[in-house]
Amino acid sequence: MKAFILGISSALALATASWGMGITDDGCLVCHRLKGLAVVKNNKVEDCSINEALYAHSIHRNIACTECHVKIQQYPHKPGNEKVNCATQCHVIDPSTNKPFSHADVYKTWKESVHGKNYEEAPNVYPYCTYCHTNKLLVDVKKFETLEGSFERCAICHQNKEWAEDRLAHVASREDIPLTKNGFVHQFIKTRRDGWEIVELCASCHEDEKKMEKAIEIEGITNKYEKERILKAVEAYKVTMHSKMLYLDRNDTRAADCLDCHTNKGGNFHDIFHKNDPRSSINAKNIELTCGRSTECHPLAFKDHMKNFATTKWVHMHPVPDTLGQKIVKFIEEFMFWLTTSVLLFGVIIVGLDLLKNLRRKH
Amino acid sequence: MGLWEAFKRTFRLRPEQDKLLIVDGEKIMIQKFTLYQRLLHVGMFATFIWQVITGYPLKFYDTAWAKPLIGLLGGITGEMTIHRISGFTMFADFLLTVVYVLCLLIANWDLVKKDFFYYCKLVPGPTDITFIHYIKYLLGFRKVPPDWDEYIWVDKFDFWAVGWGMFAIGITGWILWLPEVFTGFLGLPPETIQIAYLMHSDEATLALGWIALAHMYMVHYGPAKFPMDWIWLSGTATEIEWIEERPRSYRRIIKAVAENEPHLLEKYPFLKERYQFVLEVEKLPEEEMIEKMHEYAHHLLEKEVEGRIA
Repeated sequence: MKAFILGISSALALATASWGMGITDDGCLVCHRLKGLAVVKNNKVEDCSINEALYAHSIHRNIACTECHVKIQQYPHKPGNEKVNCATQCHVIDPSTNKPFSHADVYKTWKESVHGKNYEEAPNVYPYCTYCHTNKLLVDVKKFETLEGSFERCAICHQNKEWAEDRLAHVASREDIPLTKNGFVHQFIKTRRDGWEIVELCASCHEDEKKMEKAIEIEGITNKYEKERILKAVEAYKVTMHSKMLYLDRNDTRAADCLDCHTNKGGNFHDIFHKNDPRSSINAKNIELTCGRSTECHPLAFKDHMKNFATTKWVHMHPVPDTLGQKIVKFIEEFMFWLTTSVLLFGVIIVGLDLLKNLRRKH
Repeated sequence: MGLWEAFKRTFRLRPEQDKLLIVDGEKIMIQKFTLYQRLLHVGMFATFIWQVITGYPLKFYDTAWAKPLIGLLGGITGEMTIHRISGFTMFADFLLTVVYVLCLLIANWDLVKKDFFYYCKLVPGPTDITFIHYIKYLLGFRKVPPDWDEYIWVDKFDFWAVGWGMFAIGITGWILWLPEVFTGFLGLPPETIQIAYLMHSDEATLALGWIALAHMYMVHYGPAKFPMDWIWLSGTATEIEWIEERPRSYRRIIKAVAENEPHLLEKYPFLKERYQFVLEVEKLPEEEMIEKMHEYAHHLLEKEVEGRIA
């Protein structure tokens, strides 16, 4: 009887707490709200605590834990089944379709992409959704004068102010602090990371030689030039004008980051395929359209006679000598290096000797 | 006067004797550069400085100073705008030089045909054996510096290096500025942009490295020139400098004055004295001749100092 009363009390307490927070947490926060809750995994202490205040302001605050952590059905849950399933349908109704919301389409694209197709085989090598999509706090729209103006306008049609505020906050979360230019809110950027942050995100794996070598092995790539191109992809991008623009001036978002070229125009930003795949944005038949995405910098790139422009390798600068053209580039690169080195060495010798001679003459 | 005569008069090479200037009736100066030549040089180095300031933060983008400098230049947009305006001006300066050289060639074709290396003094030629002498001198196999002519190896190197530089950095700059035009409308192969980028970047290192190291040493911070050789501004050198640094040219100028304007020798006795000295030293073996000329330069310097003290 005591156990029954305790059970009822606990359930009531959990429900009240959850209701109080506005979080449908399935009771998970009873334990996970505890600071210092941790497990030892692969000899490393892993923090399992959840800051409920932060969670309550995150994009997923209306989603119950088990709607994404679908394998967790009992308490205590088994280790290893805490992984989220981003393709699942949640209880939220998409107002645009009136259907339960799901990331299934995006998930399907990822599953077919270079990142997803071999994920099951090597989950430590390829990125799952959560590798890139870290949970993000919503912007409090009321704190931004510029958004407040927008918010008032939304309320003209969407009379449920709470709903409108929620949606606007969701959209506003695409950027940290909305930029105001000439009194207007700057257009929402395509991703919540700026161009350089995207480069850093992609580089976190693509610069990891061990990880990339493992991926090369899994993909069965044996061609040495192809391997070189993959291993040097980030290094070869970082010396380009695109990369330097993004790095040196974070306010200037014009230059192409990784996603600008490796995803299709009008796609869902997850459609990253091998260049031989006809669906790939860098496939020979799509490349001109991809370069032409930037109407500010290369507005002519999608024209028929721009194939030479669109197929240039200057987006990944280092020449990999697998074609005659690239062999010539490699030769010129070597020539310029030795020309510069020898001329400067000659200068150092002459100036050094002349200086010595002059000093001796003076004394 | 017809157009051809006017053109010829404008671009005709100065006779050697015209390079000698007599100041205050007692002092000899040698005019090396004309006003137009000096303006071309000012245009080149002023734009070069801007190109370095706006280009190097891109080349060394991962250094601590790159970002603040880009910020000072008005972000990437400001940096690119200045780099392009300055690059355009530099290229225009180069084109003006090319046009100027062509005009000189056309207006002096009769002379050039007669003796190419004598009239085209900036072209590497037989007198550049002096470079070997210079190396021997630096290594201690020769007692005195070479018998330098009006333009020495470093002048020629600097001049032709800018020519090469304008190809390697100027034309590639245009390609990088307008990639769609060069690879799209002009149909150049895709590798063009890659090559342009590599050359533009490496040539920037080569140009700045050489200018900062060799050129600046020769004309600014070298012990013989510190704080600087003012010839870039005045176009003229003192007689003492010319005897020591360009002895062959000095002798030729003095002889040309004596042969073509003998009345000046009568008017200015010190000119007659110089002419006699030149005739005497030319009889000596080369190294001894240079040694005597240096001694003569020191003698003139001593006289000048004494005169100042008096």
